[in-house]
Amino acid sequence: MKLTDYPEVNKLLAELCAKVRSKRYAADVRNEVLAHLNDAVSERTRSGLTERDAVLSAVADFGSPSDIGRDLNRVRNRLAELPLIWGLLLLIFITLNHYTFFGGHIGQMVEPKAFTITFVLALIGALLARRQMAWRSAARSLIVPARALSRRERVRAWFFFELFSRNIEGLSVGLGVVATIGTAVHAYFEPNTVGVWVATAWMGCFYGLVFGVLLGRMHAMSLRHIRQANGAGFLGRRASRMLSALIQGLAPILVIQALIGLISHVEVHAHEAILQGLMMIGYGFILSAIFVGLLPVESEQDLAVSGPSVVLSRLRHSALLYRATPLLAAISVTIILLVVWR
Amino acid sequence: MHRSPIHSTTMDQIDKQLLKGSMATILLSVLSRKEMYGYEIIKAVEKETDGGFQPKEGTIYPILHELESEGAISARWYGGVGARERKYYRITAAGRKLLERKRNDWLNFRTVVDRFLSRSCLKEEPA
Repeated sequence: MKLTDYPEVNKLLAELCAKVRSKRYAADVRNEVLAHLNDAVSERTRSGLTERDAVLSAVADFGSPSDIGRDLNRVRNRLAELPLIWGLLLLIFITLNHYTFFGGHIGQMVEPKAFTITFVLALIGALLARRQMAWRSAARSLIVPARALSRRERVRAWFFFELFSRNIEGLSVGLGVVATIGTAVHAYFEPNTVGVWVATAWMGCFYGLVFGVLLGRMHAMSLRHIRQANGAGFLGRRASRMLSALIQGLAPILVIQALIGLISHVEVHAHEAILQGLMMIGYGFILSAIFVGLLPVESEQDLAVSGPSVVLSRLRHSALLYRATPLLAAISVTIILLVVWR
Repeated sequence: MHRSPIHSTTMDQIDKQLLKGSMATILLSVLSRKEMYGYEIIKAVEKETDGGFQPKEGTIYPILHELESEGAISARWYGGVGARERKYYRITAAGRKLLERKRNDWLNFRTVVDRFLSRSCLKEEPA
């Protein structure tokens, strides 16, 4: 008789799996628990119990299925298992953001080829994010109060100082910076329209720096520069780590993008350029706030994030920023959708 | 000796908390010797602690999965020829370091508590 023919076993599995929100994870847990029960029953039957008694004993000794299921669900939840979706959504968001601010009509600006490249890179980024499963914990917390860091550590937490670290992260960030400066210089001397100018700078910024920094940050995590987020929260540790990497990569990118926009427009329409620059800086912070808002918070200290988000951590006592995050996110998305559909 | 219900409950909670706090260290320690699957780990823990640690069998899984998500252990499904498939856990390099740190933390903690308790006992002894 198979174990799953026993109603007690089925009840245990159903109760346990009901608490695990991710279906894929629940299936894995179910198989593991079933394997465990098989082992437990085999041992008990060897020691002389009948199969039925062995099953009852194994089920009783397993513990509370709902408690165990709840604990397992805390370790891994469904949202945390979707880095692919997160990565794609984020990059679609950035792409739309860019075209909305620097372009006129979305259909005019977006070429299928450009989108294809973006999506392929998005896919690579998201697949890289899957590597988070192999990330290792290390000696320092990713989410730490800024005051807990020494002055040197605070300085180091800013991504561009990684240039000085002689490792792959420093190299990738360095390449990203070189690529950006190179394309920006090229754009400056390119006697072409402002649109091409900005687009060139943007491409350098986007492909060079975003991926340079992102890869660098991910690598830094694997190098244990940074430890996992403390405590599984809304998104779980792994997703938090991925998002934190994105925050740390994106915040400076958006500021640089804003500056490039500012420089590129200044000769033509100074007031528009300043406005766009300010909007981009604002967007950088809003975007950071959105992702900070998604980080798990178990204590007030968790509001502090290392890296460029140290700026935000200074505001960690400002509950307004934190509570306003969903609102900011909703407003941002609404603005983008309105502009895109107009 | 009479034990009030409150006293008894508190003791149970302490035991549970102690068990919970130490379980990750014990699991890492057991896995530092060889790759094992869930039920095998439970039996190893029971054997090595002479039955001192007998947690409900299922309670080790959330801890194992948490250690896995932290990268302290890795897991793979494996079934030999004619054998059932089981999920095997193996300690990683990060796990070994974590174990070392937990071991040191525990030793430090034990030293402090021992020192404290031995002084308390000395004070209680009649002159």
